[in-house]
Amino acid sequence: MKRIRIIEILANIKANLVAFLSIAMFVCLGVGLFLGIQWGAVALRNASLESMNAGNLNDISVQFPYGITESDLSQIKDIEGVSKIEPGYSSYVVMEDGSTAYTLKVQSVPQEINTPISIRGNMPKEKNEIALLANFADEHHIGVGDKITLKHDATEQFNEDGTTTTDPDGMQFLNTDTYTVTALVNSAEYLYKNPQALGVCNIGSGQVDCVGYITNESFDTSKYNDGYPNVYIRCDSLNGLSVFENEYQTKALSIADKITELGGTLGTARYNKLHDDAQKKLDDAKKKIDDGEKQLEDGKNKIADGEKQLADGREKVDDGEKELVNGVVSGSAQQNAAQIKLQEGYRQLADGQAKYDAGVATYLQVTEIYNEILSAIGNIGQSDGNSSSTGKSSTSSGFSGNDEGSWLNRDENSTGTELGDGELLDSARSAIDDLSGAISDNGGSSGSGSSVVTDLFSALGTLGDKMSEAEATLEESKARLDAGWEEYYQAKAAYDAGVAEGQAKLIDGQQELDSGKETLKDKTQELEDGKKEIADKTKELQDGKNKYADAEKQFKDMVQYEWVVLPRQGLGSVMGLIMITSMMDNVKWAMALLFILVGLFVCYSAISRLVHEQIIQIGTKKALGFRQGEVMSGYLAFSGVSALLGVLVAVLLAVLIVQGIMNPKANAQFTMPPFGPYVGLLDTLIMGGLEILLILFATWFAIHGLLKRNARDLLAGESTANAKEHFYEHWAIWKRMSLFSQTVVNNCINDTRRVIGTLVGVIGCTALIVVAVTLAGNIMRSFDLHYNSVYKFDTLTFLDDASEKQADSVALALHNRGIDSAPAYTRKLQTRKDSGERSVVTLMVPTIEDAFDKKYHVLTTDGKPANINDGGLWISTAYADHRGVKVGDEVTLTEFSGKTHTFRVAGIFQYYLVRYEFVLSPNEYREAFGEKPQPNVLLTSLDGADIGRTRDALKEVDGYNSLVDDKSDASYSYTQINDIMRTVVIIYLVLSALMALMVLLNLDIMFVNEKKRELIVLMICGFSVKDAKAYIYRDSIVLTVIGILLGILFGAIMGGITVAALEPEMATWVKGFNLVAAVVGIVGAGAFSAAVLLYALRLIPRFDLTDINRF
Amino acid sequence: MDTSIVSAYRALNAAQDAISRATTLDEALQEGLKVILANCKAESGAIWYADKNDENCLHPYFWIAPSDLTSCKHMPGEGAVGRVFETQQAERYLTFTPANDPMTTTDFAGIEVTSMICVPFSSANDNLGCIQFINKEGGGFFTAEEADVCEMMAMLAAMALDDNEAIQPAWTPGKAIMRVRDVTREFTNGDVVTRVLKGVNLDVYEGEFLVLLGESGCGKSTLLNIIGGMDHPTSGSFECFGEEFANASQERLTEYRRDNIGFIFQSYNLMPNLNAAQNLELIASLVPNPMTADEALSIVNLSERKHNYPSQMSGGQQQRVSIARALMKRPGIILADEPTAALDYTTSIEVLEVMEKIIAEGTTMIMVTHNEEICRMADRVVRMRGGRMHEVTINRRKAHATDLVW
Repeated sequence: MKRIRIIEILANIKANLVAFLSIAMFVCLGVGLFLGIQWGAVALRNASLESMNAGNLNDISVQFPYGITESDLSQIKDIEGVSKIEPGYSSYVVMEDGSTAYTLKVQSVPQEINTPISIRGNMPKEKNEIALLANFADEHHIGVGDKITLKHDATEQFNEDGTTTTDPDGMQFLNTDTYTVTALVNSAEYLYKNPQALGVCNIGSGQVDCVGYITNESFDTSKYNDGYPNVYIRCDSLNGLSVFENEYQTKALSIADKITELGGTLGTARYNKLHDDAQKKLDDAKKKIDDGEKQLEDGKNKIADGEKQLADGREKVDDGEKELVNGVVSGSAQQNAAQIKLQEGYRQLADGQAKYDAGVATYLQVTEIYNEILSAIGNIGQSDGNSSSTGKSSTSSGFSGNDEGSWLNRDENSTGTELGDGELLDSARSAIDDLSGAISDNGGSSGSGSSVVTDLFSALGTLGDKMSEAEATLEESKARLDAGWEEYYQAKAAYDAGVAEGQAKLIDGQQELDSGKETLKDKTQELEDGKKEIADKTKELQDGKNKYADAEKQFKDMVQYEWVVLPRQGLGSVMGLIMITSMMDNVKWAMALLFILVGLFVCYSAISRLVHEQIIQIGTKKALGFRQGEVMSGYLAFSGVSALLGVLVAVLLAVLIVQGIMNPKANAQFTMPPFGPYVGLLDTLIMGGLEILLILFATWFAIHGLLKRNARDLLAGESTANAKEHFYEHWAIWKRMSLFSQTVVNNCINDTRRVIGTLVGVIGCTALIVVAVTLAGNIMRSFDLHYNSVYKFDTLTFLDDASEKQADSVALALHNRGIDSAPAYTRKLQTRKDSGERSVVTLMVPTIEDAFDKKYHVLTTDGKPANINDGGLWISTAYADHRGVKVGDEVTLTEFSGKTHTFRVAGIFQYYLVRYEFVLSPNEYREAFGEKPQPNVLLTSLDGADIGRTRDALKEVDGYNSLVDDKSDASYSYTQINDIMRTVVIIYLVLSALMALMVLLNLDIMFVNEKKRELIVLMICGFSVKDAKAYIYRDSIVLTVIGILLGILFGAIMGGITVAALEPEMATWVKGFNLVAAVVGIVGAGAFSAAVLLYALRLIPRFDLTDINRF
Repeated sequence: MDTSIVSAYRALNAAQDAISRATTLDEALQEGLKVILANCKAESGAIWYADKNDENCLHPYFWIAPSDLTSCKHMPGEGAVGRVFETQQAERYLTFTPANDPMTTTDFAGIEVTSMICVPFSSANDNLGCIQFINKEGGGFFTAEEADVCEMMAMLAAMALDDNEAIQPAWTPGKAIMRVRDVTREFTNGDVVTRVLKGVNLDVYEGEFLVLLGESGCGKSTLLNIIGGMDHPTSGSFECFGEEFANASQERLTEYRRDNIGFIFQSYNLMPNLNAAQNLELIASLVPNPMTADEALSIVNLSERKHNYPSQMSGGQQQRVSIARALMKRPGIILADEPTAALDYTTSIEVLEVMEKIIAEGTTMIMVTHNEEICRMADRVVRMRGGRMHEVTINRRKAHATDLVW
């Protein structure tokens, strides 16, 4: 190109810098957004691949609940393409943190494949050590050194791939339940932070919340049938390929197919073996149960015999006891009687003895008196002799213990002395008195003395007689007393002997009784032990029977699992990455297309304006001999250079701004380290080249018509308008319109270029805002809509077992806290694409339909309540839309056991969450699955109640398992998307403002300048500046209003398309009209339009009226 | 050798030549004065003539001066001009003192008179008036020799006039509705200051048709902009209908334009998206008592085109609509800027006929044109040069539009 041409182009650029920069700017925005988003996706892919490589992520994984044996492993290794394998264990457990339970997938620490990378701490080495995913640990403030307790929660566990692992002994897969967190890790296997990518299970909420790594020693490997439930595989042939590329996916799938084929054989063999083993074990168990029952029966018989013997013994003991008591009583009575008699005898003897002793004493006194008398007589006369006598008595006694003729029974008068008390003494005293009297009567005279003596002697003789008589009596009494004493002592001796004998007999009897009792006690204890043993054995037998029944049921249910072979692209995290990068790929077109189109229009508009401004120059050039191509080349160079500049700046925009905003946002959703921007030269060349070509085409399109005109026409310049009478001017309504209205209409009709330009600008500006707000609004609106119109619950209360009783119990507890609920049965099933890709489906079955209907509104796509009893399966809109399923089609659902069920699609219901969910009537369920659905979950509306307190309150309620904040969980995806959407909205609003600035301002200024002549004329003629402004803004307002209305329409359509483009496969989002978006669009575009119009109108007062001379 | 004689001779020859080539007395006088001024190196000059119908009151007939003498007059014996006419003796004020002749100072307001020569102007049969020479070019003073030459040339010029063609009676200007005094206009572009108007003094009289004539860049359009209320003078005063507008606000100027001025543009400047009637109605909305569109269109003989859009009309028709538009407000003054420049001859005549009709009805019109022929229609022609009024001609033999030929 000649230097002068370059100078001319540069001069043209300088003179039309705004147009030049406008083109460059929209090229920059279109290309920059496109490249930025595309490169952001590439950067994310590259970073994720780096993390996958760093963690040596498996290319293929195999899960087999019956365990993959060492022999199987070697056969896998022999498959072509497989270069390295590593087996591992896994299990699902519950970790409780206060009132919240989290579901953990624990797996053995991989050594070579899927190796987690420690962020903090060291990987577990001991049995009670665990490493947790760092993002979960950080979120729940779990640090290295903390202790966590894990517990099992189910007898059957579902693996993330949909298979189940069953432990007949109660699922104690782990050797210990308390673990110390030794490390917080990131894993290439779990790059995506979305918990839904961690898989599902049938414990807790059914959603895996975290993954923990423990040592192999922590697993009770015996529970895995001497096999490994997981095998991780690397394939050298896939090295260097990206999982995001078809080549990788095809090759991985090819190897996976081979492994699947092998699994078909080995899995069947394994199944048969386990089946046979199980059969054998069942038979053994059955035999044991039968033996046990027989033994139990024998034991029971023995117990019955023992009880009978024990009853006899107890009777005997009772009799003995009774006899002994009677003996004791009888002996005691006899002893008492004898003792009484003995005591009576003794008393009588003692009385007799006393009487005797008294008699003796009396006798001695009498004797003494007698002697005194004698002495007295001696003194008086010796005539008086003594005539005392002594009484005698005799006693007889005899004791014979039980002899009725015992002395004790004798007449008591026969005991004791017979000497009357005082009689002898009285006689003696009387004799003394008589003697004394006689003495005294004699006065001392002898005459009288003889008589006295005679008397004395008489008396003394009498006394002596009596004394002799008394002495005899005393002797007799003494004899009798001695005999009595002798008899007494004999009786006493007999009594003592009898007592001793009786006591001895009693002691013997008591001993004999005690011995019998002891024996009875021993026998009773023995019997009780026997009974207990029988009870234990009965229970044991019942347990055994139950286990046998369970085992038998499991055996009957035992199905031939397949090896579940997942290529890398089937991993949850990789699926998440593919989904997000696909969304980015989709959105790059959605976002960039608008700007590319606007850029083309801006180019067309700017170049049109340029050539029309330079029409005389063009005419001059043509007149001077320039060829059409030569003239055009200048403008092509103008726009080409502008576009090239735009592309170059676009690269900076893509790298610094777009990726600068996007990459951290995308990064935040994954656990990979921060990654930098990506720059692709080829992309730049392709997209930049395409954009430049489009701009050149727009330039050519804008000017080729004009350049065809001959020089004379061009030199004559161009009228700004070529108005003519229009058909509508004959209408009555036209004539009734004000002149200003007519002016507006004619201005608009006659200046199509400006009208179209303004409309496109306003439409674009409005559409951008509407698209952005629709995008963000409709996605969140989908979430809100779901919880307003479909789900009337926000939480799911899971039960321990599927049971009406538990449901009632927990529902009552909830009701008491003012929380409504509805029971339902839910389970996870699988659907498969033709390509083999699996998806988990949540099946909801009402158990009480009325209650279910209040909590779960199954609405048809046109918003009417669905009749789920309409003979078939109701599928969610996302499944229908993205799988192309229609009413009447068939859908096959696979249980985790592998059993399949095919349903006719009865209807499609509105559903907006990012998951597949189907609804089936209870009857349909029973028909398909062969059992009545029992409630295992309560659809719960907390309605603001504190979830933590509710959990605490339910903790002790029978049947309560967990309370899951379903709304919060479901909001995760939406929150993430919304976070990105907020950025998108801001970008769109900024771009909209830029568009308004560059397009509308340009157009408005252009319009004002084009109308400058008219405006100056108007002002010269006497119109005020205000009037002149009105001449402009009336048109602009009309065009803006029309543009905004069309922009809302266009934006709504584009918004729907963009939402659809962004929509993940498992979701249906609202794509319809968004009133808020329309309002924001009206306000935003109106404000932008008004702002640029006001800015453009500022030119009018600055117009130099004397410029009229230049027109 | 004394070359002054030779110069005088050559000057006389040139004057005689100009006069002899003139087709009318007016032209002879104008061309003769121009030659005399050129040869005498006088800056300004005026031919005063005595109106026989007005007691020989002396009126300016033609002058070359940056000053508007239109309304000046001197009775015989009054001032230098009156005295010279009365005495028929030339007066010389080689060094002019205003006190000696205050009237000259008044006549040439805006010009500092430093030197003045006044010579009787008489034909063979009659005393016609006098010729006044003001200031020597370059700011010097006339010498006695130069004064001799001036006298001689004036005498010879008078002798050369055709005795049969009498000087037309004096034109009686109407009321002065606009007064422009010492108006300058400077444009600044960076450090460069361009003085477009260097002190213009002009009166516009009610009902007159004033033509501003001059070469490109002489300031006529600038002057039109100022008197049209579209621009402010840098200095000086501009008064219209007794109100000063030199420093008026834009709003006041807008009102001025709205209430007083009608514009006719070279390129018509009709609203392209409005038809003829709408273009007129648009302007009608500005004032309380406008003409109707039909009325205005009938004046310009375009009633049948009222629904036509500008693009559907010829240039002449568009210009006639433009004139009708200017008339709609019944303005006191119509300013027309080269109204026929873009038109062919026939169309131009059509347009001029309309304008002639309007002027005849009493509308004051100021027209800027390059077309000398149109000057024949004017009451006065002001020629501008270098940002000043150069000469003013009062046209005593106005031609009709249809008489114009170019």
